[in-house]
Amino acid sequence: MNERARCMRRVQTLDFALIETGLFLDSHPDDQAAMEYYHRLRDARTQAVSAYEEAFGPLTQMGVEGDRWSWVDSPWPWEMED
Amino acid sequence: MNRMYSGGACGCQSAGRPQMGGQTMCRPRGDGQTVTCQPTLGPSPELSLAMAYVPLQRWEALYEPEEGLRRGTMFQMLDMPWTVAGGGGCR
Repeated sequence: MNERARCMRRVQTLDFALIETGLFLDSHPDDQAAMEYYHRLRDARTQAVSAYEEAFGPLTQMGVEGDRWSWVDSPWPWEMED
Repeated sequence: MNRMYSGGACGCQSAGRPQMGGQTMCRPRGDGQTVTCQPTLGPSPELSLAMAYVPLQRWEALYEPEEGLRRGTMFQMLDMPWTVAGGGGCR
């Protein structure tokens, strides 16, 4: 797994954990331990997205920064190594 | 005496012969009585409906996110050994 894939995997992993925690919170909206975990995951996810986008370009169009539409600079899905 | 069963519950599907109306006649072990399998879903006049319940999950025994993604759930209590027929796993 190359560095790009590793960074992507980190985002995907945190997204999965956020969804799992969110599903739990749907039925336990006042569970403080789950809420703390959710916030912790969300902070980590924000950092993971920033780390990916700084190194490899925007993950979504909303991640575009600067004076060039860098969305088109990233490889297409079929151009990804893995 | 004929008794009503919901589909498959009497375990006679392979032994029985198809009958008119989608029913299957088959012979249970032991008492020699003929039972009628009703291969349709829905309430039977002789069997009461079940009550289902789901216990409230507790926030405990989490996998780390990496392990959770690999196993398909972050909650150890929901990590059940589901496998597909033929011995293959789903992981």
